[in-house]
Amino acid sequence: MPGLSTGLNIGLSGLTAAQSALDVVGHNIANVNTPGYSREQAVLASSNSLNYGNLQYGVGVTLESISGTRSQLLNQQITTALSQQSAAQANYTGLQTVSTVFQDNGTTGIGSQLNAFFTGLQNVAAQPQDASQRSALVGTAQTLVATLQSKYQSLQDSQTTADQQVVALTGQVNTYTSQIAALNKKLASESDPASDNDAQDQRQALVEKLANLVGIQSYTDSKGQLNVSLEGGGTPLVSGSTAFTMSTVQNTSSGTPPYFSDVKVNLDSTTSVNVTSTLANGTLGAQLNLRDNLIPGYLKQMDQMAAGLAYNVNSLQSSGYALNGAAPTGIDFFDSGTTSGGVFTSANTNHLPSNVTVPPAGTAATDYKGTVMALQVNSQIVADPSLFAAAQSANAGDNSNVNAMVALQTEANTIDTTAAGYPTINPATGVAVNPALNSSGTFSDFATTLATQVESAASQWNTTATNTENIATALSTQRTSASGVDLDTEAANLITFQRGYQASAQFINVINTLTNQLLTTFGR
Amino acid sequence: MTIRVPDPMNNSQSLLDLQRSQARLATYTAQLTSGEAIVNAGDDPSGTASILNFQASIDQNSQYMKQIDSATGFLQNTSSIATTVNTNVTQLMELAQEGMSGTQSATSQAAIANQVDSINTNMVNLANTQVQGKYIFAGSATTTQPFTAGASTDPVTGLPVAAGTVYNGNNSTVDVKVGSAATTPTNMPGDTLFMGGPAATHQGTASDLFAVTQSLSTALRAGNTADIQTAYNDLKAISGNINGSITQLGAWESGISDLKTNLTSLNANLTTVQNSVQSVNYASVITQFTQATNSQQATLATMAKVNAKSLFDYLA
Repeated sequence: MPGLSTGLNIGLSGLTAAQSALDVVGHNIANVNTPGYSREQAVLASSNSLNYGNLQYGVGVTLESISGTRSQLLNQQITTALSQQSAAQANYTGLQTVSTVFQDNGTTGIGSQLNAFFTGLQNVAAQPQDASQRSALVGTAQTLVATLQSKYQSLQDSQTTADQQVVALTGQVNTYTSQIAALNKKLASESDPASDNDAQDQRQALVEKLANLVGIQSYTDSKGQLNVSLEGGGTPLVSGSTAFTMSTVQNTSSGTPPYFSDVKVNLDSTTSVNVTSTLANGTLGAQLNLRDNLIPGYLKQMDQMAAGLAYNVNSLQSSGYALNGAAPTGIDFFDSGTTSGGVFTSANTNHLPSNVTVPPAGTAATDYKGTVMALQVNSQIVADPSLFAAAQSANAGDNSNVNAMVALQTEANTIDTTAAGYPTINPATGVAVNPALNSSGTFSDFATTLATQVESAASQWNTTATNTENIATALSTQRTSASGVDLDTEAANLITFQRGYQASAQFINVINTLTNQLLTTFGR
Repeated sequence: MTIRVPDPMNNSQSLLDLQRSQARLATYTAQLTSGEAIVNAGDDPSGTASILNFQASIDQNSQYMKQIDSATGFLQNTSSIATTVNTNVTQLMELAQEGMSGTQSATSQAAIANQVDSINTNMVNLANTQVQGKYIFAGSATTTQPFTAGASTDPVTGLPVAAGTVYNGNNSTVDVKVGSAATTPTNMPGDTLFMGGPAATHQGTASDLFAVTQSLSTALRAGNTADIQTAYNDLKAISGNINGSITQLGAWESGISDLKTNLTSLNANLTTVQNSVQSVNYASVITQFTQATNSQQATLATMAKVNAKSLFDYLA
């Protein structure tokens, strides 16, 4: 049988174990509110026993390990849910700004201004010889152009803001990936990486922050290092202890500003992968979606509508007669200001503002890109509204041409939405040389559809944001249920280990008393 | 089975719920204070579409009503002048009858002829009426004076007349749009009204009011009873023509007036329907607001209770 000194050691092992366990409890309590923290447990085991004769005597307790409670699967699910949630949230926030552009309170919206323009036309139709109605018409046309342009500009501003966000977020991504790589390096240098709970928790918290920015996939390799790659294509961001930096490069291939940045991952000093089009989730993915998909779609439709308006009104204007005019005016109503006063030229037979016929590189003329910003009311007509072609004859009271313009308001198929191109028009007769291939609603339908599209998209992203938030919260609740610190449990553990410590101390006291007894009896 | 409920779990779920109920409260408050049902982007895409569609229709209808008002103004002026001219024609017929009675001396015949001449001048003036700076009887050539002195033909004798009245306008009507598929004329060309048809074929014929009046005057001065009779018969036919035109003008006027009544009630309906989408339903929103307030208070109270107690409170 073991001696008294062995008993002291048993007591000592109890004290040490209880103290270690108390440390773990204290660590848990201290981290009760730390994001991503997984509760730790002191795993105690009885020490290997000693043989005395045929008896096995236990010799106390050892702290075998401190284990963390975490689920790799749950962590990955949370990461994905967070990416989706932050993307939906950012898309919705971006669309809220866009939606104010298309709001129509009856005076400032695109639809209202279109109506005002057609009202101006109708007023001229009622009084074609009246100079004041013609001036008023030019005024409403200028307001319409200004409204379209200010809204177009607002959308472009939103696009620029999204682009700036992309650049800023890329920097944040790099901060997180480098920290993850550093933690990977630290873990790889340890003999038992799996037991470094805190480093793993910190790393997971970083991964979640990263997931808020970009959609990612991750897996832990045999050395306990977490490898992170981008969604959709698997471009690596973190491989072991190496972080691949993300950078932005301005793409000037369109040839016309505004230029936006491409997002690239630099695999080494010479090789980089362009990931701009593959990012869909996370705030970064959402900003790219707003910048490259949603807003350009709205801009394109505004351009199409402006081109339709310019084409139809210009065709009638150039074949119609000015007040007391002797021949068709041969000038456009809406022009780009770059031709000499919008004089109808053979190069301009499609009746679109001239610089739209020279489209930006990479876009077809039938995309009508840039039409809105190129639009202006022909300066000749602004200077002399009597040049507005209300008539189809030299008679001052003839309003047949302006009536034809008024009819455009309720006419369908006035906007080329299929990039089919507008028919060219014989400027003398106003007759289309080749037939129209367009299919669209009326101008006001088009404006309404545009506003509704924005609203629907906002509604859809709002719902997605709520749903993904629910999923993320449910998953994180599930994880907290398994891994979170419960103060009641910790309080109970605290008492348990405190009592254990007291008992071990008492046991040492007993051994001490026994030893003392022995020494006083036999020691002298 | 016991489910572990660690502390942050309670808080994160309750916090989310609290934030949601606060967001709902904010929406209801915005709805109640603004009176608008749609306050956030994406609240009601189809509602937004119908509001915009209704607004477009309302604006268009309002414009059509303005066009109708303007057209009605021109048509009323036209028909009131036509009525005055028709009264003049009746006077001319009475004078012609006097001239035919055979009891008049040459002097009194000349006096009657003078009256006829002055009525003629008066009618030409009326036919040259301008409304808002435009000649209403010139067809679409609204800046051209429609009736001036010029060489014409005497419809009764068939002889050329040096100082006749000629038409310089055209035979077009000026139409305005008063509905998505409806137009209305705003004028009646002077040749149609006063000459019975396009000037090219009717000027200086038996249906030309001014030429007939002139030949009546000539016949009176010459004491040619047969010519006076012819002129009288022509005037009778012309009066019938003018009456027909007045009826036509009245029909146009009442047509667009009916249209305006329809547009007015249509706009009233559209506005009502638009309001039902656009404006807040106070009763329902206030109820929802109260529910959200209760739910928020309940959440807050529960959070306070749950967070108040811990085992640590009971450990000395």
